[in-house]
Amino acid sequence: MRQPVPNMSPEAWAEYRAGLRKRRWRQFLQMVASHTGLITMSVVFIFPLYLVFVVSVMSFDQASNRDLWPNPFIWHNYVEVFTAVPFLKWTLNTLFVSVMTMIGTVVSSVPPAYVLSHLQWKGRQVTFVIILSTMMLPGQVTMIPVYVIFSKLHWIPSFLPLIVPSFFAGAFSIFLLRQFFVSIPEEITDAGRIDGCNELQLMLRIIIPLVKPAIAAVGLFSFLGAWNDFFGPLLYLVENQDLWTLGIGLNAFRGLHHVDTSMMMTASALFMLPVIIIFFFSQKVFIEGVTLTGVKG
Amino acid sequence: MTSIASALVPPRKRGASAPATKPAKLKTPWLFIFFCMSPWLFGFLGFTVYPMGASLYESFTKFNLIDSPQWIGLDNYHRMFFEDPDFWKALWNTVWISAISIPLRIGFAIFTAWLLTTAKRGRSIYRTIFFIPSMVPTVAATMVFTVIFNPAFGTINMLLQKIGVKNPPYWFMDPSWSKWGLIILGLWGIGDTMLIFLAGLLDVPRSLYEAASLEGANGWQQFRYITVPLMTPVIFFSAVTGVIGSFQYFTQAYVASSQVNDFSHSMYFYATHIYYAAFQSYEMGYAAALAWVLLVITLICTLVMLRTQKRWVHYPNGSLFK
Amino acid sequence: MRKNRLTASLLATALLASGFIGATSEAQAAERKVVVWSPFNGANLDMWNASLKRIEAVNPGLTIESVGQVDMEKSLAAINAGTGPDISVANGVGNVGWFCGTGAWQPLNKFIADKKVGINLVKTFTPAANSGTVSRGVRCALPFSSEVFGFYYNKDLLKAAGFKGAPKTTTQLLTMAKKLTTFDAEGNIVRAGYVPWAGYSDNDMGSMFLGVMFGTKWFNSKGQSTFATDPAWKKAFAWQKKFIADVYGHGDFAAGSRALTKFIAAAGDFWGGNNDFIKGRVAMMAHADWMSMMWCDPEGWNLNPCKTPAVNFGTAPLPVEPSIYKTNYGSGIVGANTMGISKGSKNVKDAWIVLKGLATDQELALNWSNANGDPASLLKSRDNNPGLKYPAFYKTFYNISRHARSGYHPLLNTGEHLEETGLQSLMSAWQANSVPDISAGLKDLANRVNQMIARNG
Repeated sequence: MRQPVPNMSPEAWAEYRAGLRKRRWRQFLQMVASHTGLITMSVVFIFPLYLVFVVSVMSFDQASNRDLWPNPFIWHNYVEVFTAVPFLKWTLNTLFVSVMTMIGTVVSSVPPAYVLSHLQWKGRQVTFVIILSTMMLPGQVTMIPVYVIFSKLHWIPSFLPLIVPSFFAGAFSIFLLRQFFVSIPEEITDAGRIDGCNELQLMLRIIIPLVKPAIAAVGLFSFLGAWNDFFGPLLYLVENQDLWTLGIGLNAFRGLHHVDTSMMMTASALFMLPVIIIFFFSQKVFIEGVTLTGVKG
Repeated sequence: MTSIASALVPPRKRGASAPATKPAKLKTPWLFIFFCMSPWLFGFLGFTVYPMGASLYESFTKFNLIDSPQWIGLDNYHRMFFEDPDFWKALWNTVWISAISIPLRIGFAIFTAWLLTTAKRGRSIYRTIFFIPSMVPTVAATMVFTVIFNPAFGTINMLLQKIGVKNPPYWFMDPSWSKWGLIILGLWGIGDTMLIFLAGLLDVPRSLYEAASLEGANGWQQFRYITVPLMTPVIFFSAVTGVIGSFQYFTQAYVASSQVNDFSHSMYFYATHIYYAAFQSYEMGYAAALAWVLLVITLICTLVMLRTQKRWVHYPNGSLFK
Repeated sequence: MRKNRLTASLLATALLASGFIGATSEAQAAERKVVVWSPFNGANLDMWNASLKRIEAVNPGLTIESVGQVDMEKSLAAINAGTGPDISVANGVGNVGWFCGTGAWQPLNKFIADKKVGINLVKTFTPAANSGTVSRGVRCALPFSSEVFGFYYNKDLLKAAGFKGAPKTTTQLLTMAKKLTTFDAEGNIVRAGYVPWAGYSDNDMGSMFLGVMFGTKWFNSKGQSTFATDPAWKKAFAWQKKFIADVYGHGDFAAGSRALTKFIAAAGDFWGGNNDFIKGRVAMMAHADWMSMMWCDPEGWNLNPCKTPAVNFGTAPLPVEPSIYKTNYGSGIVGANTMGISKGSKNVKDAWIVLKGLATDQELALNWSNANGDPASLLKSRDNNPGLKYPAFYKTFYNISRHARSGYHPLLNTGEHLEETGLQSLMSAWQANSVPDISAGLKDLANRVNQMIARNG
């Protein structure tokens, strides 16, 4: 080992080495503590998910016995859930609504985000503040007249009340996109204008390719928001069983015949699985999106 | 990055000095702006402005969806405050769960975020694990929790008994414990809030910590005097969104009460009351009145928080908006 | 040229006229259409549709469109939206006060009294059935079939414990339940004798069963709630508390309540082969007549033949409090399917014809009773005929449906049967040991119900 200061006295050298040892020992303890804490917390977070997947392949009797490991593995539960309840139909319905919502949100939110970030116009700040404040509005205040509108249009029950509003640009998506757009420097658009591009070309050809991660984030969030949504389908789809999404179906499980605890877990597992899989493939997008909305603005 | 970007002056922070060549004074392309904003604008007018006005009007009427609304003045409001014990129960439950779960969530989010910062390697794996539960569909999460917290065959009580708890609570099946079950469910899904706090924690300049340890401050003192004050903007943001969100708390409570037949209304919240008034009894006018009272309460809470933020929130850049 | 123009205009006029005539006759033909929505499906729907066909046959020019699997909640939403059917059917009687009061179902009094197309209600339907279709003098529904609630007991378990038959009084019920209940080493309930618990049988009837056992009154002649003024209610809840304490808590109510909560939490799916009664986890249970279908055949719900039921069950009327035994034993809750003409129906006259036809169809009533075990609501029905297919247990329910004191409680516009849901909530809180003073709770509930009635006008 090299001495930090040349020609140290033997006492100073010993003291230094003791101090180093103490520090290393403390760092080691800290690392152990940190990993213990992290692993404990991980177990806590994973445990319910572990139980879902494990109980989903248990028989009802075993599930009642609170066993922690299936024996035997009743893989058949995953087949039976499709025959006991119209699970496939629920899944397809949920998929349809989620995809359409995603498309609607992305298509309608990108232009306002662009216009609110890369163009100067009178009233821009006011509009942005209005958009922000609508994010804080409790949904219940607008819920009833909106329901009445859809009711008078005879759109209940159907997917339309869930899909059509997404084509009208939600505040959250505009906000998220705009935060990202703002990080693209003005110089690019200015240069483009000098070059003679009109705004539409600027938006489509230049800016959009640059903000693909943000668009992916918005698309992902709106897809997942629709996939997980319960209240919307509860209001607009519940009267027609053929239109049910997974959320309503799962909630109604107890009232349906021939289902029990382990099958409830099977259904829950299948409902959760797409989300978990999508998340694994797009982690960065997620995390950037969440942090963007939280801190920077 | 496109070729245009690389061919230009390197990207600078916004607000930096003006570029060498200023573009010619352009006319504001109003048509384009209108075209882009129109989806939002029409949505705003049709799904926000009009309904707000309509629901305010409806709150003074008796309206059951078949017949047209009948004006009854302040009757709905009178009934709400003087003739509806469910209203007070719902309000109490909502206030209770907000007061308990918002600080708990903030504390737990800070704790888990801080725990993540102590990880030198593998942080992203842990982060993923902590985050996934918050992405899971709430209906599924709630159903799973009612099963594993089942007093008879739930794993949680079995584990509690194994570590010596003689009479574990009945959680969702016990009116005095059901809200705690909901709170635990909410804490399990702390991931998204945690990420925000993680970003906030990582934003604190390392130099401050180094300077403090040079002066002899230990870890706890550093946390108390550096980390927490600099995190107050995030805490504030989280508290405000928490209040707004918890007053609209619905899905978990509704799903959990359907699983266990919550007749004693221990999981009956403000949003639940509005839902039942509107879509079970078809008393739309009353529901509209309830919704407006909710809006007023939320506004008051938000304003109070905004007013008092000066006392405890430190903004590094001096203001909320950059 | 002129001739052409003339021809053209003549042709045009002819076309127009024929179109007009065609449209009118089309409109006339379209007028004689009645849309019926019902919650029935499968074999029940087939019987229902057959009856509708018979009505069409007797009324030439009338077409009936029938849609099944639509419960009243959906029908109501459609009625509210203006797209409802002419006739809608509810599975029970509980909301009739609400439907009558809000006008969701139109008043039928003038049709009933009509000399040509009317019905003599007293001569056509049982008293129990008639009590379930009227609210404050407004009759907005006709009954169809019935739903009779009685008492089921496990013959094998009772015999093994030395009992000859079903309990007849609440005192006997407690004694028998105590003997039939078993515990495990940790004090958990393994088998329950009888579970007087709101929400246990996956229905809202717990408080209503208590009411029948004690002969309680729900409303007085002025249409006010009697929860607080009728002492039988307080007696009933006190009995429930004593029952839980004695049978499940060794004298301690809180312990008994906890033990029962855990026992119920461990129950399997109510519908199907894992049902507590089928598995012998509970020895006696109050429920509806059609549950016989599930005891006989948990998977397929076939009532006939019931040679090898999943559980050896016996039927009886609900036990009653000893002091009212002479007058009340043998009676029970009798509901019915109720059907009315929706608000906004465009063809009320023909809807009435269809409604009357359905309610008075003897063949439909007989087939329905055979298939479902529900006694008919028709007074002179053919289902007391020994030529019927079903086993002896049907007799129990048939007799209950004819008992003088059977029926439902008076129906008022309490929104979505607030008197029932409110009572159920109170009972749930009471049994969970969350209500210190039941009198206060009953008084509070009575006030709320009265307020709601007053508000609904």
